[in-house]
Amino acid sequence: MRPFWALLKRELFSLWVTPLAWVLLSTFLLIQGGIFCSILIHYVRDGDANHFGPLSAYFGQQSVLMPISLLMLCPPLTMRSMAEERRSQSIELLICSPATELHVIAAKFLGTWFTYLLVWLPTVLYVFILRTIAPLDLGALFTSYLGLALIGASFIALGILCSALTRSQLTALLLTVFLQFSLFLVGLGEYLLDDGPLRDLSAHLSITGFLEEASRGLIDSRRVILHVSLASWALYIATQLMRSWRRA
Amino acid sequence: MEASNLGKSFGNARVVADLNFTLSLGQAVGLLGENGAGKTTTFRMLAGILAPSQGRVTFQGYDLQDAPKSLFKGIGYLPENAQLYPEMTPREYLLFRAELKGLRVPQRKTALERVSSATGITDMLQRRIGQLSKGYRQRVALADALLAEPQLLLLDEPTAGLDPNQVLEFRALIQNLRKDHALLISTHILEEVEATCEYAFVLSQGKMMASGSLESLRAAEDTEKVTITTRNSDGISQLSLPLPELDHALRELQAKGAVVLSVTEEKSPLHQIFHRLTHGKSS
Repeated sequence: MRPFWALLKRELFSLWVTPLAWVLLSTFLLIQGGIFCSILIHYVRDGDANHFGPLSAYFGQQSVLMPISLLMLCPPLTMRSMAEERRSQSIELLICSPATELHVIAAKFLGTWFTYLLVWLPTVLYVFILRTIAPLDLGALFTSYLGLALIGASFIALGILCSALTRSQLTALLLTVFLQFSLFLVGLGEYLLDDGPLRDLSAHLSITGFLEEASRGLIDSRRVILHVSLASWALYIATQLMRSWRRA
Repeated sequence: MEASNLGKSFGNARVVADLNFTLSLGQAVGLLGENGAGKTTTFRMLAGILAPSQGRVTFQGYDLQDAPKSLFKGIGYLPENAQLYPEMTPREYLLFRAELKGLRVPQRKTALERVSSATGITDMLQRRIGQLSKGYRQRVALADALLAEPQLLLLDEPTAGLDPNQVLEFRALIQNLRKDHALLISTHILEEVEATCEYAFVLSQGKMMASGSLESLRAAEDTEKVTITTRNSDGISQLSLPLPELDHALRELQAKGAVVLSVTEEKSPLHQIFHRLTHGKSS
Protein backbone atom coordinates (compact mmCIF):
# COMPACT_ATOMS: atom_id res chain seq x y z
CA MET A 1 0.00 0.00 0.00
CA ARG A 2 2.99 2.33 0.43
CA PRO A 3 3.15 3.18 -3.29
CA PHE A 4 -0.56 4.00 -3.20
CA TRP A 5 -0.19 6.48 -0.33
CA ALA A 6 2.79 8.07 -2.04
CA LEU A 7 0.78 8.53 -5.23
CA LEU A 8 -2.27 9.83 -3.36
CA LYS A 9 -0.19 12.46 -1.57
CA ARG A 10 1.50 13.40 -4.85
CA GLU A 11 -1.89 13.75 -6.55
CA LEU A 12 -3.23 16.05 -3.84
CA PHE A 13 0.02 18.01 -3.93
CA SER A 14 -0.15 18.46 -7.69
CA LEU A 15 -3.77 19.61 -7.53
CA TRP A 16 -3.33 22.11 -4.72
CA VAL A 17 0.17 23.42 -5.35
CA THR A 18 -0.70 24.56 -8.87
CA PRO A 19 -3.22 27.41 -9.44
CA LEU A 20 -5.81 25.05 -10.99
CA ALA A 21 -7.59 23.98 -7.80
CA TRP A 22 -7.53 27.49 -6.34
CA VAL A 23 -8.92 29.09 -9.52
CA LEU A 24 -11.60 26.42 -9.67
CA LEU A 25 -12.42 26.82 -6.00
CA SER A 26 -12.73 30.61 -6.33
CA THR A 27 -14.86 30.48 -9.48
CA PHE A 28 -17.00 27.68 -8.09
CA LEU A 29 -17.64 29.47 -4.81
CA LEU A 30 -18.44 32.67 -6.69
CA ILE A 31 -21.13 30.85 -8.69
CA GLN A 32 -22.42 29.01 -5.63
CA GLY A 33 -22.46 32.32 -3.75
CA GLY A 34 -24.59 33.78 -6.54
CA ILE A 35 -27.04 30.86 -6.33
CA PHE A 36 -27.13 31.16 -2.57
CA CYS A 37 -27.82 34.91 -2.74
CA SER A 38 -30.67 34.43 -5.18
CA ILE A 39 -32.24 31.80 -2.88
CA LEU A 40 -31.71 34.03 0.12
CA ILE A 41 -33.36 37.02 -1.59
CA HIS A 42 -36.23 34.80 -2.69
CA TYR A 43 -36.85 33.52 0.86
CA VAL A 44 -36.56 36.95 2.48
CA ARG A 45 -38.98 38.41 -0.06
CA ASP A 46 -41.52 35.62 -0.57
CA GLY A 47 -40.87 33.12 2.24
CA ASP A 48 -41.15 29.42 1.53
CA ALA A 49 -44.27 29.91 -0.63
CA ASN A 50 -43.72 26.71 -2.61
CA HIS A 51 -42.82 24.64 0.48
CA PHE A 52 -39.81 23.20 -1.30
CA GLY A 53 -37.47 24.00 1.56
CA PRO A 54 -34.05 25.60 1.16
CA LEU A 55 -32.25 22.32 0.37
CA SER A 56 -34.50 21.57 -2.54
CA ALA A 57 -34.04 25.11 -3.77
CA TYR A 58 -30.29 24.79 -3.53
CA PHE A 59 -29.70 21.25 -4.80
CA GLY A 60 -32.75 20.35 -6.81
CA GLN A 61 -35.88 21.88 -8.31
CA GLN A 62 -34.66 20.90 -11.75
CA SER A 63 -32.31 23.84 -11.60
CA VAL A 64 -29.82 24.07 -14.48
CA LEU A 65 -27.38 25.70 -12.11
CA MET A 66 -26.31 22.48 -10.39
CA PRO A 67 -25.50 20.61 -13.64
CA ILE A 68 -23.54 23.68 -14.78
CA SER A 69 -21.65 23.68 -11.48
CA LEU A 70 -20.77 19.99 -11.90
CA LEU A 71 -19.74 20.47 -15.53
CA MET A 72 -17.60 23.39 -14.51
CA LEU A 73 -15.91 21.47 -11.72
CA CYS A 74 -15.27 17.85 -12.72
CA PRO A 75 -13.72 18.04 -16.23
CA PRO A 76 -11.04 20.63 -15.32
CA LEU A 77 -10.14 18.64 -12.22
CA THR A 78 -9.54 15.44 -14.18
CA MET A 79 -8.24 16.64 -17.55
CA ARG A 80 -4.58 16.63 -16.46
CA SER A 81 -4.55 13.46 -14.40
CA MET A 82 -3.37 10.95 -17.01
CA ALA A 83 -3.05 13.05 -20.18
CA GLU A 84 -0.31 15.26 -18.73
CA GLU A 85 1.60 12.28 -17.31
CA ARG A 86 1.57 10.71 -20.78
CA ARG A 87 2.40 13.90 -22.65
CA SER A 88 5.38 14.64 -20.42
CA GLN A 89 6.32 10.93 -20.33
CA SER A 90 6.54 11.05 -16.54
CA ILE A 91 4.16 8.09 -16.69
CA GLU A 92 7.18 5.94 -17.67
CA LEU A 93 8.70 6.42 -14.25
CA LEU A 94 5.44 5.30 -12.67
CA ILE A 95 5.15 2.24 -14.91
CA CYS A 96 8.63 1.02 -14.03
CA SER A 97 8.17 1.71 -10.31
CA PRO A 98 6.83 -0.77 -7.76
CA ALA A 99 3.39 0.88 -8.07
CA THR A 100 0.77 -1.16 -9.92
CA GLU A 101 -1.64 0.29 -12.47
CA LEU A 102 -4.41 -0.03 -9.88
CA HIS A 103 -2.35 2.00 -7.38
CA VAL A 104 -1.91 4.77 -9.95
CA ILE A 105 -5.54 4.95 -11.08
CA ALA A 106 -6.97 4.57 -7.56
CA ALA A 107 -4.68 7.33 -6.24
CA LYS A 108 -5.60 9.63 -9.13
CA PHE A 109 -9.29 8.98 -8.51
CA LEU A 110 -9.26 9.36 -4.74
CA GLY A 111 -7.00 12.43 -4.86
CA THR A 112 -9.30 14.17 -7.33
CA TRP A 113 -12.47 13.06 -5.59
CA PHE A 114 -11.18 14.29 -2.25
CA THR A 115 -10.37 17.63 -3.89
CA TYR A 116 -13.89 17.73 -5.38
CA LEU A 117 -15.36 17.16 -1.91
CA LEU A 118 -13.11 19.84 -0.42
CA VAL A 119 -14.33 22.31 -3.03
CA TRP A 120 -17.93 21.59 -1.98
CA LEU A 121 -17.15 21.85 1.72
CA PRO A 122 -17.51 25.67 2.11
CA THR A 123 -21.04 25.47 0.67
CA VAL A 124 -22.18 23.76 3.89
CA LEU A 125 -21.90 27.24 5.41
CA TYR A 126 -24.40 28.58 2.87
CA VAL A 127 -26.88 25.88 3.76
CA PHE A 128 -26.55 26.61 7.47
CA ILE A 129 -27.17 30.32 6.80
CA LEU A 130 -30.35 29.29 4.97
CA ARG A 131 -31.33 27.47 8.16
CA THR A 132 -31.92 30.84 9.84
CA ILE A 133 -34.70 31.75 7.42
CA ALA A 134 -36.31 28.36 6.79
CA PRO A 135 -36.46 24.96 8.50
CA LEU A 136 -33.60 22.62 7.57
CA ASP A 137 -33.76 18.83 7.59
CA LEU A 138 -30.32 17.55 8.60
CA GLY A 139 -31.06 14.10 7.15
CA ALA A 140 -31.86 15.71 3.82
CA LEU A 141 -28.71 17.79 4.10
CA PHE A 142 -26.71 14.57 4.48
CA THR A 143 -28.41 12.84 1.54
CA SER A 144 -27.96 15.95 -0.62
CA TYR A 145 -24.22 15.91 -0.11
CA LEU A 146 -24.16 12.11 -0.45
CA GLY A 147 -25.85 12.52 -3.83
CA LEU A 148 -23.29 15.12 -4.87
CA ALA A 149 -20.45 12.87 -3.68
CA LEU A 150 -21.77 9.89 -5.67
CA ILE A 151 -22.39 11.92 -8.83
CA GLY A 152 -18.94 13.43 -8.38
CA ALA A 153 -17.38 9.97 -8.03
CA SER A 154 -18.83 8.75 -11.32
CA PHE A 155 -18.04 12.03 -13.13
CA ILE A 156 -14.46 12.05 -11.87
CA ALA A 157 -13.94 8.40 -12.79
CA LEU A 158 -15.27 9.17 -16.29
CA GLY A 159 -12.94 12.17 -16.45
CA ILE A 160 -9.93 10.04 -15.52
CA LEU A 161 -10.90 7.53 -18.18
CA CYS A 162 -11.15 10.31 -20.79
CA SER A 163 -7.78 11.65 -19.64
CA ALA A 164 -6.28 8.18 -20.08
CA LEU A 165 -7.55 8.05 -23.66
CA THR A 166 -5.47 10.98 -24.88
CA ARG A 167 -2.22 12.88 -24.36
CA SER A 168 -3.99 16.23 -24.79
CA GLN A 169 -5.53 17.93 -21.75
CA LEU A 170 -7.89 19.89 -23.99
CA THR A 171 -9.16 16.75 -25.73
CA ALA A 172 -9.63 15.10 -22.33
CA LEU A 173 -11.57 18.15 -21.11
CA LEU A 174 -13.86 18.25 -24.16
CA LEU A 175 -14.43 14.50 -24.09
CA THR A 176 -15.38 14.60 -20.40
CA VAL A 177 -17.69 17.58 -20.91
CA PHE A 178 -19.34 15.76 -23.83
CA LEU A 179 -19.90 12.55 -21.81
CA GLN A 180 -21.21 14.34 -18.73
CA PHE A 181 -23.40 16.69 -20.73
CA SER A 182 -24.81 13.64 -22.54
CA LEU A 183 -25.73 12.15 -19.15
CA PHE A 184 -27.64 15.34 -18.29
CA LEU A 185 -29.38 15.28 -21.67
CA VAL A 186 -30.40 11.64 -21.19
CA GLY A 187 -32.07 12.73 -17.93
CA LEU A 188 -34.18 15.29 -19.79
CA GLY A 189 -36.07 12.40 -21.38
CA GLU A 190 -37.94 12.14 -18.08
CA TYR A 191 -39.77 15.36 -18.98
CA LEU A 192 -39.82 15.05 -22.76
CA LEU A 193 -40.79 11.40 -23.40
CA ASP A 194 -44.16 9.75 -23.07
CA ASP A 195 -44.72 7.11 -20.40
CA GLY A 196 -42.88 3.89 -21.17
CA PRO A 197 -39.63 2.01 -20.57
CA LEU A 198 -37.52 4.71 -22.28
CA ARG A 199 -38.92 7.38 -20.00
CA ASP A 200 -38.33 5.13 -16.97
CA LEU A 201 -34.75 4.53 -18.06
CA SER A 202 -34.25 8.23 -18.61
CA ALA A 203 -35.65 8.99 -15.15
CA HIS A 204 -33.40 6.37 -13.61
CA LEU A 205 -30.31 7.86 -15.26
CA SER A 206 -31.30 11.46 -14.54
CA ILE A 207 -28.68 13.42 -12.60
CA THR A 208 -31.08 16.25 -11.73
CA GLY A 209 -33.68 13.67 -10.66
CA PHE A 210 -31.12 12.11 -8.32
CA LEU A 211 -30.24 15.51 -6.82
CA GLU A 212 -33.90 16.42 -6.47
CA GLU A 213 -34.65 13.21 -4.58
CA ALA A 214 -31.56 13.54 -2.44
CA SER A 215 -32.51 17.11 -1.47
CA ARG A 216 -35.78 15.71 -0.12
CA GLY A 217 -33.92 13.13 1.97
CA LEU A 218 -34.44 10.21 -0.42
CA ILE A 219 -31.67 7.99 -1.70
CA ASP A 220 -32.73 5.38 -4.24
CA SER A 221 -30.35 2.42 -3.95
CA ARG A 222 -30.63 1.84 -7.74
CA ARG A 223 -29.15 5.27 -8.33
CA VAL A 224 -26.36 4.54 -5.86
CA ILE A 225 -25.58 1.27 -7.65
CA LEU A 226 -25.67 3.07 -11.00
CA HIS A 227 -23.11 5.69 -9.99
CA VAL A 228 -20.87 3.27 -8.09
CA SER A 229 -20.95 0.90 -11.09
CA LEU A 230 -20.25 3.73 -13.52
CA ALA A 231 -17.27 4.85 -11.45
CA SER A 232 -15.96 1.27 -11.04
CA TRP A 233 -16.22 0.48 -14.73
CA ALA A 234 -14.58 3.71 -15.79
CA LEU A 235 -11.69 3.11 -13.38
CA TYR A 236 -11.38 -0.52 -14.45
CA ILE A 237 -11.15 0.48 -18.13
CA ALA A 238 -8.61 3.20 -17.27
CA THR A 239 -6.51 0.57 -15.43
CA GLN A 240 -6.67 -1.76 -18.43
CA LEU A 241 -5.74 1.11 -20.75
CA MET A 242 -2.71 1.88 -18.63
CA ARG A 243 -1.73 -1.80 -18.69
CA SER A 244 -2.03 -1.77 -22.48
CA TRP A 245 0.52 1.07 -22.79
CA ARG A 246 3.25 -1.47 -21.98
CA ARG A 247 2.20 -3.51 -25.00
CA ALA A 248 2.04 -0.47 -27.31
CA MET B 1 19.26 -9.49 -15.86
CA GLU B 2 19.04 -11.62 -18.93
CA ALA B 3 17.60 -10.75 -22.33
CA SER B 4 16.70 -13.78 -24.44
CA ASN B 5 15.83 -13.43 -28.08
CA LEU B 6 14.47 -9.99 -27.26
CA GLY B 7 12.64 -8.12 -29.99
CA LYS B 8 10.15 -5.32 -30.48
CA SER B 9 8.01 -4.34 -33.43
CA PHE B 10 5.75 -1.34 -33.85
CA GLY B 11 3.23 -2.35 -36.49
CA ASN B 12 5.25 -3.78 -39.33
CA ALA B 13 8.42 -1.97 -38.33
CA ARG B 14 10.84 -4.18 -36.45
CA VAL B 15 12.82 -1.90 -34.18
CA VAL B 16 14.76 -4.45 -32.13
CA ALA B 17 15.41 -8.08 -33.03
CA ASP B 18 16.99 -11.14 -31.42
CA LEU B 19 18.97 -9.53 -28.63
CA ASN B 20 20.68 -11.93 -26.25
CA PHE B 21 22.79 -10.79 -23.33
CA THR B 22 23.32 -11.03 -19.60
CA LEU B 23 24.10 -8.21 -17.18
CA SER B 24 25.84 -9.12 -13.92
CA LEU B 25 26.73 -7.22 -10.78
CA GLY B 26 29.98 -5.29 -11.09
CA GLN B 27 29.76 -5.08 -14.87
CA ALA B 28 29.61 -1.76 -16.68
CA VAL B 29 28.35 -2.22 -20.20
CA GLY B 30 27.98 0.42 -22.89
CA LEU B 31 25.14 0.00 -25.36
CA LEU B 32 26.45 1.64 -28.49
CA GLY B 33 24.42 2.54 -31.50
CA GLU B 34 23.58 5.31 -33.88
CA ASN B 35 20.47 7.42 -33.43
CA GLY B 36 17.50 5.20 -34.19
CA ALA B 37 19.43 1.97 -33.63
CA GLY B 38 16.87 0.82 -31.06
CA LYS B 39 18.76 1.68 -27.87
CA THR B 40 15.92 3.51 -26.12
CA THR B 41 13.39 0.84 -27.12
CA THR B 42 15.75 -1.79 -25.69
CA PHE B 43 16.08 0.21 -22.48
CA ARG B 44 12.34 0.64 -22.16
CA MET B 45 11.92 -3.13 -22.48
CA LEU B 46 14.63 -3.76 -19.90
CA ALA B 47 12.99 -1.29 -17.51
CA GLY B 48 9.60 -3.00 -17.93
CA ILE B 49 7.96 0.01 -19.60
CA LEU B 50 7.44 -1.79 -22.89
CA ALA B 51 6.48 -5.42 -23.33
CA PRO B 52 8.66 -7.24 -25.86
CA SER B 53 7.00 -8.46 -29.05
CA GLN B 54 9.37 -11.41 -29.02
CA GLY B 55 11.59 -13.08 -26.43
CA ARG B 56 11.75 -12.03 -22.81
CA VAL B 57 13.66 -10.18 -20.15
CA THR B 58 14.30 -11.96 -16.87
CA PHE B 59 15.44 -10.24 -13.71
CA GLN B 60 16.39 -12.26 -10.64
CA GLY B 61 14.76 -15.28 -12.28
CA TYR B 62 11.40 -13.61 -13.01
CA ASP B 63 10.05 -12.73 -16.43
CA LEU B 64 9.77 -8.95 -16.15
CA GLN B 65 6.25 -8.98 -17.63
CA ASP B 66 4.91 -11.28 -14.91
CA ALA B 67 7.24 -10.24 -12.11
CA PRO B 68 5.85 -8.87 -8.85
CA LYS B 69 6.01 -5.09 -8.96
CA SER B 70 8.16 -5.01 -5.81
CA LEU B 71 10.95 -6.48 -7.94
CA PHE B 72 11.19 -3.18 -9.83
CA LYS B 73 12.88 -1.72 -6.74
CA GLY B 74 15.96 -3.56 -7.93
CA ILE B 75 16.11 -1.67 -11.23
CA GLY B 76 17.18 1.96 -11.30
CA TYR B 77 16.18 3.57 -14.58
CA LEU B 78 17.40 6.94 -15.81
CA PRO B 79 15.47 7.74 -19.00
CA GLU B 80 16.84 10.03 -21.67
CA ASN B 81 15.53 13.53 -20.83
CA ALA B 82 13.90 12.31 -17.63
CA GLN B 83 10.63 14.13 -17.01
CA LEU B 84 10.32 15.12 -13.40
CA TYR B 85 7.53 17.10 -11.77
CA PRO B 86 8.58 20.76 -12.15
CA GLU B 87 6.38 22.06 -9.34
CA MET B 88 8.20 19.91 -6.76
CA THR B 89 11.56 20.51 -5.11
CA PRO B 90 14.17 17.73 -5.49
CA ARG B 91 13.65 16.96 -1.79
CA GLU B 92 9.87 16.55 -2.21
CA TYR B 93 10.34 14.60 -5.41
CA LEU B 94 12.93 12.19 -4.01
CA LEU B 95 10.91 11.60 -0.82
CA PHE B 96 7.87 10.87 -3.00
CA ARG B 97 9.87 8.47 -5.16
CA ALA B 98 11.38 6.81 -2.07
CA GLU B 99 7.92 6.17 -0.64
CA LEU B 100 6.74 4.95 -4.05
CA LYS B 101 9.60 2.47 -4.03
CA GLY B 102 8.42 1.17 -0.67
CA LEU B 103 11.05 2.71 1.63
CA ARG B 104 10.01 3.29 5.24
CA VAL B 105 10.16 6.79 6.78
CA PRO B 106 13.63 6.53 8.43
CA GLN B 107 15.02 4.78 5.33
CA ARG B 108 13.68 7.57 3.12
CA LYS B 109 15.62 10.27 4.94
CA THR B 110 18.82 8.23 4.94
CA ALA B 111 18.37 7.42 1.25
CA LEU B 112 17.73 11.09 0.45
CA GLU B 113 20.96 12.12 2.18
CA ARG B 114 22.94 9.33 0.50
CA VAL B 115 21.77 9.97 -3.07
CA SER B 116 21.82 13.75 -2.85
CA SER B 117 25.38 13.60 -1.60
CA ALA B 118 26.40 11.04 -4.25
CA THR B 119 24.91 13.11 -7.06
CA GLY B 120 25.96 16.50 -5.71
CA ILE B 121 22.51 18.03 -5.39
CA THR B 122 22.51 18.70 -1.65
CA ASP B 123 22.52 22.48 -2.20
CA MET B 124 19.66 22.26 -4.69
CA LEU B 125 17.23 20.22 -2.59
CA GLN B 126 14.95 23.17 -1.74
CA ARG B 127 14.70 24.70 -5.22
CA ARG B 128 11.85 23.95 -7.61
CA ILE B 129 12.83 21.31 -10.18
CA GLY B 130 11.43 23.56 -12.91
CA GLN B 131 14.05 26.17 -12.00
CA LEU B 132 17.02 23.78 -12.15
CA SER B 133 19.44 23.54 -15.06
CA LYS B 134 19.26 20.46 -17.27
CA GLY B 135 22.41 19.11 -15.62
CA TYR B 136 20.90 19.29 -12.17
CA ARG B 137 17.60 17.83 -13.34
CA GLN B 138 19.60 14.93 -14.77
CA ARG B 139 21.30 14.51 -11.42
CA VAL B 140 17.96 14.51 -9.61
CA ALA B 141 16.78 11.80 -12.02
CA LEU B 142 19.94 9.80 -11.33
CA ALA B 143 19.44 10.30 -7.59
CA ASP B 144 15.95 8.87 -8.05
CA ALA B 145 17.37 5.85 -9.88
CA LEU B 146 19.76 5.24 -6.96
CA LEU B 147 17.23 5.69 -4.15
CA ALA B 148 16.30 2.08 -3.46
CA GLU B 149 19.90 0.84 -3.86
CA PRO B 150 19.10 -1.11 -7.04
CA GLN B 151 21.31 -3.93 -8.25
CA LEU B 152 20.91 -2.82 -11.85
CA LEU B 153 21.20 0.70 -13.24
CA LEU B 154 19.91 1.48 -16.72
CA LEU B 155 21.21 4.85 -17.85
CA ASP B 156 19.83 6.03 -21.19
CA GLU B 157 22.01 8.76 -22.72
CA PRO B 158 22.99 9.99 -19.25
CA THR B 159 25.13 12.91 -20.46
CA ALA B 160 22.94 14.11 -23.33
CA GLY B 161 22.59 17.88 -23.17
CA LEU B 162 25.15 18.40 -20.41
CA ASP B 163 27.99 20.91 -20.72
CA PRO B 164 31.58 19.56 -20.86
CA ASN B 165 32.20 20.11 -17.13
CA GLN B 166 28.95 18.41 -16.21
CA VAL B 167 29.86 15.51 -18.53
CA LEU B 168 33.16 15.01 -16.72
CA GLU B 169 31.48 15.16 -13.31
CA PHE B 170 28.80 12.76 -14.47
CA ARG B 171 31.38 10.29 -15.77
CA ALA B 172 33.22 10.42 -12.45
CA LEU B 173 29.94 9.72 -10.72
CA ILE B 174 29.24 6.74 -12.96
CA GLN B 175 32.77 5.42 -12.29
CA ASN B 176 31.94 5.45 -8.57
CA LEU B 177 28.75 3.51 -9.14
CA ARG B 178 30.44 0.71 -11.05
CA LYS B 179 31.60 -1.28 -8.06
CA ASP B 180 28.18 -1.69 -6.45
CA HIS B 181 25.88 -2.07 -9.44
CA ALA B 182 25.40 -3.70 -12.79
CA LEU B 183 25.42 -0.79 -15.20
CA LEU B 184 24.05 -0.53 -18.71
CA ILE B 185 24.73 2.81 -20.33
CA SER B 186 23.21 3.72 -23.65
CA THR B 187 25.04 6.25 -25.75
CA HIS B 188 26.22 7.12 -29.20
CA ILE B 189 29.20 8.97 -27.73
CA LEU B 190 32.08 6.51 -27.92
CA GLU B 191 34.31 8.39 -25.48
CA GLU B 192 31.58 7.85 -22.93
CA VAL B 193 31.91 4.09 -23.21
CA GLU B 194 35.70 4.21 -23.20
CA ALA B 195 35.62 6.38 -20.08
CA THR B 196 33.08 4.40 -18.11
CA CYS B 197 32.69 0.84 -19.35
CA GLU B 198 34.76 -2.28 -19.82
CA TYR B 199 32.15 -4.07 -21.94
CA ALA B 200 30.14 -2.93 -24.95
CA PHE B 201 27.20 -4.06 -27.04
CA VAL B 202 27.02 -2.58 -30.51
CA LEU B 203 23.52 -2.18 -31.88
CA SER B 204 22.68 -1.34 -35.46
CA GLN B 205 19.18 -1.25 -36.93
CA GLY B 206 17.93 -3.10 -33.88
CA LYS B 207 20.38 -5.97 -34.15
CA MET B 208 23.35 -6.83 -31.99
CA MET B 209 26.40 -6.48 -34.24
CA ALA B 210 29.03 -7.26 -31.59
CA SER B 211 29.37 -7.71 -27.85
CA GLY B 212 32.20 -8.28 -25.43
CA SER B 213 34.93 -6.44 -23.57
CA LEU B 214 36.36 -3.37 -25.25
CA GLU B 215 39.67 -5.22 -25.48
CA SER B 216 38.13 -8.21 -27.22
CA LEU B 217 36.29 -5.93 -29.63
CA ARG B 218 39.54 -4.27 -30.51
CA ALA B 219 41.30 -7.64 -30.81
CA ALA B 220 38.60 -8.88 -33.15
CA GLU B 221 39.29 -6.00 -35.47
CA ASP B 222 41.83 -6.98 -38.15
CA THR B 223 45.20 -5.56 -37.20
CA GLU B 224 46.36 -4.24 -40.47
CA LYS B 225 49.06 -1.81 -39.43
CA VAL B 226 52.15 -1.74 -37.21
CA THR B 227 54.28 1.09 -35.89
CA ILE B 228 58.07 0.71 -35.83
CA THR B 229 60.02 2.99 -33.51
CA THR B 230 63.67 3.38 -34.47
CA ARG B 231 66.72 5.32 -33.38
CA ASN B 232 69.24 6.52 -35.91
CA SER B 233 71.65 9.40 -36.29
CA ASP B 234 68.72 11.88 -36.65
CA GLY B 235 67.16 10.75 -33.40
CA ILE B 236 64.05 8.69 -32.65
CA SER B 237 61.49 8.28 -35.40
CA GLN B 238 58.31 6.29 -35.96
CA LEU B 239 57.17 4.55 -39.08
CA SER B 240 53.65 3.27 -39.69
CA LEU B 241 53.20 0.61 -42.37
CA PRO B 242 50.93 -2.27 -43.40
CA LEU B 243 51.58 -5.54 -41.59
CA PRO B 244 52.65 -7.56 -44.69
CA GLU B 245 55.48 -5.08 -45.29
CA LEU B 246 56.93 -5.50 -41.77
CA ASP B 247 59.65 -8.07 -42.59
CA HIS B 248 60.88 -6.15 -45.60
CA ALA B 249 60.91 -2.86 -43.67
CA LEU B 250 62.85 -4.37 -40.75
CA ARG B 251 65.52 -5.72 -43.11
CA GLU B 252 65.87 -2.32 -44.77
CA LEU B 253 66.14 -0.52 -41.44
CA GLN B 254 68.84 -2.90 -40.21
CA ALA B 255 70.70 -2.46 -43.47
CA LYS B 256 70.65 1.32 -42.89
CA GLY B 257 72.01 0.81 -39.39
CA ALA B 258 68.91 1.99 -37.56
CA VAL B 259 68.21 0.51 -34.13
CA VAL B 260 64.67 -0.84 -33.88
CA LEU B 261 63.35 0.12 -30.45
CA SER B 262 59.88 -1.38 -30.74
CA VAL B 263 57.29 -2.81 -33.09
CA THR B 264 53.69 -2.33 -31.99
CA GLU B 265 50.34 -3.22 -33.45
CA GLU B 266 48.17 -0.22 -34.14
CA LYS B 267 45.03 -0.74 -32.12
CA SER B 268 41.89 0.32 -33.90
CA PRO B 269 40.16 3.17 -32.13
CA LEU B 270 36.65 2.34 -30.89
CA HIS B 271 35.02 4.72 -33.35
CA GLN B 272 36.64 2.79 -36.22
CA ILE B 273 35.30 -0.52 -34.87
CA PHE B 274 31.91 1.08 -34.36
CA HIS B 275 31.90 2.49 -37.87
CA ARG B 276 32.83 -0.85 -39.41
CA LEU B 277 30.20 -2.72 -37.39
CA THR B 278 27.41 -0.31 -38.13
CA HIS B 279 28.23 0.57 -41.74
CA GLY B 280 29.99 -2.56 -43.03
CA LYS B 281 33.66 -3.08 -43.76
CA SER B 282 33.58 -1.64 -47.25
CA SER B 283 32.90 1.89 -46.05
